[in-house]
Amino acid sequence: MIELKDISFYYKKNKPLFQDLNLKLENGHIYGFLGKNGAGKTTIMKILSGLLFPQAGNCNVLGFNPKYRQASFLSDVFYVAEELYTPSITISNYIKRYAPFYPNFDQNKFDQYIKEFNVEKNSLLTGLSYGQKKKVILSFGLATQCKLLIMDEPTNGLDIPSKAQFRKILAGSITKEQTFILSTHQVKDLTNLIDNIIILDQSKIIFHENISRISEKMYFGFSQGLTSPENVFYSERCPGGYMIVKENNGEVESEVEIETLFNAVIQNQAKVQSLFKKN
Amino acid sequence: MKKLEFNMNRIGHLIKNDIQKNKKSFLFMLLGSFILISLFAFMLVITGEPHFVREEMHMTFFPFILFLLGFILTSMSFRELNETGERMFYLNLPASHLEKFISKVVISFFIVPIILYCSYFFFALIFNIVLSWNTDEAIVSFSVFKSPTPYVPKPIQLLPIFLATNTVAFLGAIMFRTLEFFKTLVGLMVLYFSIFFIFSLAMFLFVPDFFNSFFMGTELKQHPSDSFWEFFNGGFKNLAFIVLFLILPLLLLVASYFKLTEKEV
Repeated sequence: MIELKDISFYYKKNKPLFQDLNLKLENGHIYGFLGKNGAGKTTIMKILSGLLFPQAGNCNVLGFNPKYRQASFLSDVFYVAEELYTPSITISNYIKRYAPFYPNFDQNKFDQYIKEFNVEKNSLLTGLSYGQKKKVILSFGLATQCKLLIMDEPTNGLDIPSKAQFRKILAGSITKEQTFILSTHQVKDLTNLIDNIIILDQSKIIFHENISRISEKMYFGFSQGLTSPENVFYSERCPGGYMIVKENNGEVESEVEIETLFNAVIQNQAKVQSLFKKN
Repeated sequence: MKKLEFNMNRIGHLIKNDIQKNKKSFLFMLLGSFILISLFAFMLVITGEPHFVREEMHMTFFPFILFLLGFILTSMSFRELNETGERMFYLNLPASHLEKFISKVVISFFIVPIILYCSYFFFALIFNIVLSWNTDEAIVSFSVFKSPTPYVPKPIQLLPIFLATNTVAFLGAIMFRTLEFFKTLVGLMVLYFSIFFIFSLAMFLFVPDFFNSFFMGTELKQHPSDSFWEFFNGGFKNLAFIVLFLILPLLLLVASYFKLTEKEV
């Protein structure tokens, strides 16, 4: 389990990024962190992985305080950064060098993922494209079977077939003991993958809900006209009408459109929050 | 609660990875230095100054290799922390701070000096064979236990000075993200001058004309008591040795460890 309690963090003393931030994440889920640029998604991820230290508050990740960066903590956490580091060695040498640090590393799984991603195992890491490097690091991260896998913009640089492959691999590999956290600007890439959505805005967590609860409470659909706009959280013009998000008043549960949800929460924060407060 | 973790296997892997990663640059630096020394030495032989080459060269150049290369390599020992991506990777590599710290200490304070000693020994051997090819004159061979004159320290005697100095480079490697070597060099100079200044100030307070006497060879006019000289030549020297070669380096190593634990991205 992961718990952030009353976390305060700042890069510059007079400009706090987070103040009294609270967050609780359970095992066995894939969480999607959404937010505008500078909202603090990457900062939270770095705090969780022990790369940044909060100035105040308690941080408990898998029973450890990440700031101590203990080996037993680090071997259960893998952080796929947006800025990838790949040494000038072949993929198989990379495995030889770094897999021994992860006691649960599964070579067969790594081989399987790398094959599914269509990457040649004997390639030199520095000779690969950004997308291919990302595939290797993602495969490595998944093969470590760590309890917490944090991915910052994991789909950046991946081509369209690889994005689908990525979703398939990720959804198929998570176990009950694991927690996956992803952040992305390309929210459509996360469709059918994440089961919990966390939206950050102006350094605050303004929305944290389960996908099934969202589809139960909100309706995402198409409307030819805006008959009663006061009931609509968000609307967006599209050919022939509007894409709308509104309260689900007994309609059939619709598929959650993450991008539309994000815009609805950002634009109508209070209304959306009060909707979820209702039982 | 923080638990101190220490695993020899992980330290072994860290050292192995470090050596594999840096072996090429280390080898190039070493070869480059030996080529430069050889060229310089052959030039001296050709220009008719073989005496230095035959008798003192190795004892003079070895400290140069040990201090310069050792210092450069140590000040670059935490290069992983310079670039953001690699920094994240290194800090998140599953090994405790202590294990990462020890692996670097072993490389900078044991492996590198040993390799430098051994490689210079083989370089000197090959150099001497080549140089003595056409001559019957003996060339003083390189030995870590031998000194050409009583005034020049034996190479082995340089080791404590090197190791103590190296702790400054080690701290600099963790502290500075760019131009580590030059910044550390400045730091080292500041440290030396500070020590010299404190020493001078203390001597000036006790023996105001000590420096006149030391540099100009004049006689001391204000003689401090015999007990002062007894302390200066006995206890003080021992104390200075302990402070400069044990306490200060240890403090710098402890500071380096804590600096490493405080690193963020």
